[in-house]
Formats: sequence, structure tokens, C-alpha cells
Amino acid sequence: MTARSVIGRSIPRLDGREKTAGLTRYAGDLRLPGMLHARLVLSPHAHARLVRIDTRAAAASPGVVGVFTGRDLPLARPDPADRGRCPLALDRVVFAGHPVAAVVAETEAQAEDAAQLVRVEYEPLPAAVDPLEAMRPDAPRVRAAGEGGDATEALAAHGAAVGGEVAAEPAAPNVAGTTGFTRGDVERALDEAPVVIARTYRTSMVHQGYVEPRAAVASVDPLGGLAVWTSTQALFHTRSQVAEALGLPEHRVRVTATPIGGGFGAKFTLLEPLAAALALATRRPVSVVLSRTEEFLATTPAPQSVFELRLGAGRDGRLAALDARIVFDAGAWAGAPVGIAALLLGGYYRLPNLRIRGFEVLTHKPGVGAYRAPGAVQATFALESAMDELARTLGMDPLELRLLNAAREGDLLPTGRPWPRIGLVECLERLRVERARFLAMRPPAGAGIRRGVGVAVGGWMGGIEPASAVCRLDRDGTLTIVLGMVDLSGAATGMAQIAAEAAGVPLEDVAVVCGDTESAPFAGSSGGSKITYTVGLAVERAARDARRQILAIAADRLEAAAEDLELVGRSVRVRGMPDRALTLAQLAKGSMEFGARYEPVFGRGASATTARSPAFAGHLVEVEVDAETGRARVARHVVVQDVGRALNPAAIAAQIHGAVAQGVGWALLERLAYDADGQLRSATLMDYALPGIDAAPATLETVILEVPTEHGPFGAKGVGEPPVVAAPAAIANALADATGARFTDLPITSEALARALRAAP
Amino acid sequence: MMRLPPFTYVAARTLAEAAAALAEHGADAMLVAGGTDLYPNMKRRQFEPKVLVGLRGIRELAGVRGSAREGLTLGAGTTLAAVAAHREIVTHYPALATAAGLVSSPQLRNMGTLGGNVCVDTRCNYYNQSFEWRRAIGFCMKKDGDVCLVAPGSPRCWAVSSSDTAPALVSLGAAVRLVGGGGERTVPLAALYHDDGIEYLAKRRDEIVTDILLPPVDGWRSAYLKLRRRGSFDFPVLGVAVAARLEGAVVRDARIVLGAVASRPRLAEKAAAALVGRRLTPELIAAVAELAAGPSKPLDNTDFTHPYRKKVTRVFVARALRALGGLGDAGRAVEAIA
Repeated sequence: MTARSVIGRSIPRLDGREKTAGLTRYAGDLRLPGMLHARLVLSPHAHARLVRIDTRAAAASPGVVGVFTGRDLPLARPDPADRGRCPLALDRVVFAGHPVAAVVAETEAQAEDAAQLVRVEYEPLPAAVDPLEAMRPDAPRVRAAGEGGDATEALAAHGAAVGGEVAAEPAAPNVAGTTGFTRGDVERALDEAPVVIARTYRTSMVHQGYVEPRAAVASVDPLGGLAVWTSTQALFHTRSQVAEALGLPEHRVRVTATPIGGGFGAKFTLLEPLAAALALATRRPVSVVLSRTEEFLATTPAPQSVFELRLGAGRDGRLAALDARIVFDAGAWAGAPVGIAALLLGGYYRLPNLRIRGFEVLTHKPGVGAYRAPGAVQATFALESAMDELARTLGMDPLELRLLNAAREGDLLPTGRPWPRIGLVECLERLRVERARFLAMRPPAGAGIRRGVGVAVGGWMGGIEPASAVCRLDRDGTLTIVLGMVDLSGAATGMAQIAAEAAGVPLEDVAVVCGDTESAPFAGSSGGSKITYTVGLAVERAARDARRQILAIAADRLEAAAEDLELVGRSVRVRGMPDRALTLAQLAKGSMEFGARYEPVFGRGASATTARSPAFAGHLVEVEVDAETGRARVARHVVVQDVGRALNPAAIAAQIHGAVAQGVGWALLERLAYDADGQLRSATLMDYALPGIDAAPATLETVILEVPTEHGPFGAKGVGEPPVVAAPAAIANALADATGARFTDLPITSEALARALRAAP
Repeated sequence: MMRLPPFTYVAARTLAEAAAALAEHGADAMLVAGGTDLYPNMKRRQFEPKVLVGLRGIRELAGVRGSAREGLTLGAGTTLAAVAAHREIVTHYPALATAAGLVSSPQLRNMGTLGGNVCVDTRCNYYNQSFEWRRAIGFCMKKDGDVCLVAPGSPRCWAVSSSDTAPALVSLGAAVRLVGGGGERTVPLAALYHDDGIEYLAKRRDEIVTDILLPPVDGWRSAYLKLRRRGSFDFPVLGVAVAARLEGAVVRDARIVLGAVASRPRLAEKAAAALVGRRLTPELIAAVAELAAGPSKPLDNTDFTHPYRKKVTRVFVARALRALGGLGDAGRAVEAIA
């Protein structure tokens, strides 16, 4: 490392200025010559047979170029069990909001007006709305017998596909998948345990709440090739999905990821096959941009969940057994993160006996997608609530109870595989220090205000996926890194730091280009906290490769051994002889001009690590609860996060800040409320309580721990997901401390708090 | 969301022009000032006017005149932001400044007007939804349907008065000046409302609310508390306005007004009467809060459950009274809520 290392320095985001100045052009801002606009017609029924769709009035409306139903789209093999391959319903609608037709017109307004004229005749059918009721024998079926159904890529990309046994429980209707783990004899251990906490925890369906709605633009070239510009986290995955849906070879589809206004796991592939099909059908560019209500009705929210837990322990606090039954509501397509939930539920603590059964259940609601640490947030709310209650029941300090049982390197996950080196214990120990400081500064109790302090920890396994990168020396001596990743939450800034460090050049001389699928080297989707971890390695290697090539050219031109050269500032010089030097620009030009003797510098790097580097974060929260109304707010919040190595502390702090805000939403506010018929009652931002800045903690402190991994670039681990995992659990535990009651359902509303306070002494 | 349907916009320059346009177009016309509630409702087809009579160009509608000693006249076109920031109002009519400052978000307070908020449409979970959503459940009687989906046997609509400023103004004894139909009249603000979710305004179609008249402050103190899920943006699901004139610790006169518990601001008259001539003690406050919650009969058609809203009615009335009496933790509590 050079004397002025850029690793570990807080670097402003490369895209910060354009974002804050409002200069960023998103997919919805794109205007192509001749571009048309599509608006969707959504089903008002949660479950219905499509009898007929009369498009005549819409087609005759001013400016309309075409009205398309599922039958009219030029799709290869539309399969209702695969939403990606069947963007418009064919015979049945399976959730309120299911698109049934698309109107394409010269302007968005004309398309919107004409969409109102599409007459759809439905035969309403009974709907399965609640996941537990959907498992009853007489429940309406979401998928007819023999139909498959799957949307697991986003979860796999998040590292959420973990395998496991198949749960041993009689098959129930609408169960799309099961998972399970067993170890030891749970029943006996629970019988013998002196203390057992038995509770059922529930979390609500929530929306990822990104500011930029989903948007995609597709265009067809004269030879039939497709270009798609889209707000996605998953560049190459989207190309595969579009190519498959339309029956095209991948090289005929070019996908460009436009700057993304928030994704949080949701933005993999949704509108792109539809936009592409509409462009092919009309032979003109087509833009599809969702409204906020369509976002709530028709995208891929995070699943609702039910955890039935029994957690047994000895009087000394040592855990004896965990029995868990998990039900995730997948919505109308499979893909709920029950696997990762089961893995983490049985993984944080040493459990000699465990039995975890997980079920993924289809319902007549939108198919769920990933949301920042999918499955982990829900599982951690359940487990960390139970641990907190156990500590209270035993009269133990909740941190000491966790430290006593926390998994260390070599302890077994429910899969039977050992944990690698993890920072769980380090997080807990640091929380102990922070708590002492925290409690010493506790404000005096005000009249009418109840205060409570809570802790929780949670982790994330960390995603992995092969990645490649190239590094080009340009004629002015600067470096350009070309990547196939999507720049999400400052990832590209981290790549620039890694490249500058590995190549030995100033940070401002590094440009990062996130290319399209036609020209960029492969990288996985920006999800699962894996981009810095995997692409970062490829970048490090590509930059080192470029540096080697630079030094080789310099060695030849300076007639010195490469080992005797050093790269200082923007020059290569012979060590100890500052006069014998060539600038990077001179070296570059010598490889990139007519008649030059040297090969252009083009560094290549790739990674295919199979080792995950799980990362933990601990939360310490103080809440204030209005003793009469139950209104709660988070007064102080401390997050301790193990990041392996902090490449850019400011960027990590920003990730933690966002995660805490989302954690407040999970804990206190957010819920996609469906009525018994499967109608969404909170389909606007007026009705869906996304937290505002006033709901954020009054003070928020971030503490970065570094428990390095040998696998990530410079020892770094993924930092995106871990900080949200335990946030709702910590808030719930603080509320329990404030009120003396236990809260098992998220969100914890003022009403629930007021009820608890009334019941409390 | 559907987009705005075509309509004719009449940019009135004077009240007379606006009144004439209203008279000419009858039921097809609606007034628009800030438009923060009207335009979204038009997009959802809750309102379907053919003609909008714009009031923004009428200079005489904007601004605050007078003094707290003699009474204030607030032009209906004064923005909520201006009302919330007006020094005389902040100092002498705090219930109104607080209520105006708690409406929606800063952006909407910069556009929305006092007159618009006083006349704002009633709200209901079954009504404030997209056109498609309402169509899917067969519409309700407030618009396009025949039944009340909150109380299916009911002959009337139970949509909820959702103005923050109306209960505050009623508590302050405000009057409203209406111009139209060739004349003008001034009535107590409380008389502007009916307890009906559809016909909630007791104003003729051709009348325009031009001014809100606040009486001389004359020793009255006031407070407003608002219940909603978030600290911004949300409409009230309960508003409590309390005004009282005290001599020492003895209450000489009082008004308690509840918002968002009925289709109109609801006066808690028995509770207010119980204060008069009495010292403001914790015991009296508790008793009055209990009495005030009597007229609070919310239905289950807003955010939060109705038992909770009724419970908080008691809490807020007590807090408002403590604030007026300078007792205890009221200031802190108000901050925690608002």
C-alpha cells in the first residue's frame, strides 16, 4: 500500500454531485425519436377468470398505436407460472393489480386515457389472501395442478437460496416450497428445558419504497435486435430474461442499466420483457413507467411472514433447543426467502437441538421479491425478540445471554457446515461498551414519557457470484475501469478506490464505466451485498494487471528491471533516480499511436470466490413512548457493524443511516394492508406510511468494526444488507423495555402500544 | 392514477367575476384556489367539474388585516404557510397557527389556502381511493354508488371532516364571510357545516368563502392537537381544539371542538360548560376530558381504529387544557404528538 492510501478514506460518491443537483437522467427521462408510451390495465380482482377483453374503444382513441393483451404479445412461450415470461395475464388474474392489457400511444396521456376505455369482463373467483388460510384444504388454489411457478433469481442473487432438507409435514394446498433443518432431539430438549419461550411472531408485507418507480424503455433496430434501457439492479439477468421471453439469442438483446433511484433488492426484472415485446410489436421504441399506485399494486413487495417459535434454555442461559415453524407468503409466484430465514434463525446461536420447518405459500397477492436482507429481517425479529424475552425471564443481561450462546468460527450452521470467521462476538462486545456509555448519558425520565432500551444483533451470509473487470490505460495516463455491474449506493466509488490503490495512481485519475451487456465484462446482479466483495476483487486484479503492464513498458523504455521501478504520482521512475522517469501519459501514448511498439495496457481481472464472508451488525436503541397515546419514536440509535475492512467509511455510514430508517419503517409504520378479498387498502403514499425524516432517530451513531476476511478486496465484506437485519428487532425490544409488554407483530402501532400500556401496571 | 380530464378554467380577476362564473355554470362548476386537494380528487374522479373557477388571481382574497385587539380578517386565499407564520396569529391565536402548520407538508402549505382547508372535502377509507379501486368494490354513496360501505344500512354518508383549521377556527369563535348570488353574508363558522359526509358545507353553490373573521383575542388562549400516523403529510384522524378565557386559574368561557370524528367539526358543549366558573385543576381537567370524549363518535373509516381515536380524544383534551392552564408537561406532550 502506498503512503497515501485511498483505502479507508471517506470519499464522496462519484455520482453525488449529479444526483444532488438533479442532473441524473433516469430511465423515465429517456426520450428516443418516435418513442411511444405504454400504460397498463390492471385487474381489480384478486382472483378471476378473464372472460373477454374488448379493446375496440381504446384502439380507436386518439393517438393509440396498439392495444395488447397477453394473447397479442410476440412472446416465445408465455407461461402463466413464470411472470417474467408472461407479463400480461392470459386466462386468469391472480392478484388485484395483475396487468391484463397494455395500451401503447403517442403520448403518455393518450395511453392513460385509452387504458380507461379497455373493457374487461371478469368472472370473479374466491381468493386466498392470508397465507395460513391458504394452507387449509378448502383454500382456493393459486396455481392449477401441474403448473410450476418460480421467481427465485433475485433471491438466489441475494445469497438466499441455501438448500436444506424438505420439511416433513403433510402437503398443504398452495405450498410452493418447503425447507427444513433438524439437529438432535428437540422435543426432549424442550421438555427438559427449565425455561421455554413460546411465541408466534408476524411481520407484514412491505414495499421496498424506492423513490424512482420502475421504468423501462425498449427499442428495435432495423435488423430486429433489441435495446433495453431500464432501472435494474440485474443487468445480465435481465438480458437473459428478455431473450428467453422473446425467444431471441442473448446477443440480439442489449440491456443498459440506467442510473437507479433506489432498488433495495426489488429491481431485478419486471417490465423489461413487456417493454421489449411492445417494441417488437409496434416496431417503435416504447417506454413503460409505473405510477406510484401501480408500484404498490403490481410489483414485487417483501413477503409477510409467520414464525412460531419455541426456544428452550437452561437456568444458566445456555440454549437447549429451538423449534420453529416458518410460513412465508410468496404471493402469486414462488420465490419467498424462507431458506435464508431458516438458516439464520438456527445459525446465530449455538443450538444443540433444533428443528426448523419452513413453508412458502402462494396467495392471491403480488409475487414477492427481495428487499434488503430478504428473510433475515423477519427471522431476526422473531429470534431476537425471543432471546430478549428469554433474558428477561432468566433475569439475565440480554447482551450477556447472547454472548454466552453466540456462534463463533467453526460452530455449525443448521446446514451442518461451519461458520467461517465472523464478527458476531465482536459486535456484541462492542455493544456492551457502547451501552455503558449510552446509559450513562440517559436523559431523565420526563413526565408522561416511557423510555426503554433494547438490543439486537443480526447478520447476513453475503452473496457470491463470479465477476470480471477490465482496466484500460488511456492516452492521457488515466485509468478507465469497465464493468458489467450496476452502480448501486456508491459501489462504483468503491471500485475507483480499489483500482487507484491496486494500480498506484491518484483516485481522481480513475474513471469507472458501468457498461451495457454488449460491451461490458460479466458481473453479477447488484444485490446480496456482493458487489464490492466479488467485483471489487476482479477490479483489484485488473488494476494490478494493468500496473504490471505499465511497469513492463516502462522497464523496456527506461532500460531498467521492472522490480527497480516505482509508480509515484503520475510517473514511473527508477527507484532512487528521479530523473529517469516517464509519465503515465508518455507510456500510454507509446502504446496507442501510429507505429507504436507496445501493446496497449489492458488489465484483466476476474473472481469466482465460493467463500462467503458473513457480516453482523448490532443495534442499541432507546425509544420514547407517550404513556397515554402510545406514540413511539426512536430517540437514540447506535449501530455497530463488522465490515471486514472499511473501504469508504462515509459510504458505510450512509448505508447504516438508510438501513435504520428502513428499520423504523418495518418496526413502527409500514404495512401493505390487504382486505379479506385481496384488495390493497394502502396503494398510495398517503395510505402507506413510509417513514419521513421526522421518524428517523433523533441521534444516530455508527460504529465500524473491522474483522477482516481473507476473501474480499483488502479484507472487505459486503455492507449493504447487514445493518437493516436487526433494526426492527432492537426497536421492538426497546419498546418491550419501555412498556413491559412483548410485541410480536410488525409494525408495532401506537394502538398496540397504547393497549399494552393500559394493560401494564 | 388517471389524468386530469378536460375542463374549462376561468381565471377570475374579481370576486364579481368569480361569482358570475359560478352562477353561470351551476353544478358543473367548482372553485379552485391552491388545488392541492381538488386536482388529485379530479384525477381519481371524485370531483368531475366541467368548469373550474380559479381564485388565485383575485387580489382581495389574500392577506391578513386587523389586529388581535380588534380582531383579524384573514383572506380565504391566504396560504396555510402564511397563516402558520403570521406573528399576530402565532402569538394570539395559537390554535390556528398550529393547525395551519400541521396541514400536510411544507410544499402543500405553500400552495394550499385557508379557505380551501376550511372547505376541504370529507374523507373516508372507502372514498379516498383510486377510481379503479372504488369501481372494484362497487362505489359508495358519496360518489357513483348507492350505499355507505362503512355502515351499509345507513341512509347517510359518514365521511369525516378532515380540516385542521376548521376545529381551531370554531374554537376561536371565528365567522366566515360568504359572497355570491348578488349579496354577501357573515355567519359563525360553525354554521358553515352540516353533519353529512356529502353535503357537509352549508353554503350555497354560488357562494364564495372570502374571509375568515377572528374576534378580538380578549384574553382567550387556545391550543390545537392533531393525531395522525406520521409526523407530516397525513390528514388528521383526530383534531382537538380548545380555547378558553381565564381569569387567574378560573375559567370564564371555553370552547372545545373535535375534528375528524364526524362529518363536521363537533363542539363538545357539555364539556366546555363544565369548565366555566371553575378553577382548572387536574381533577376538573380529567372530568372535562371524559365529557369531551362523549361527542367523539368516530367510525372505523379512517386510519387508526375508532376506539383508539376516542381514547386519544380524552388524552388530547386534557393536554390542551393543561397547556392553557400552564400546568405540567403539556408543552412537552404536544411536541411529542405534533
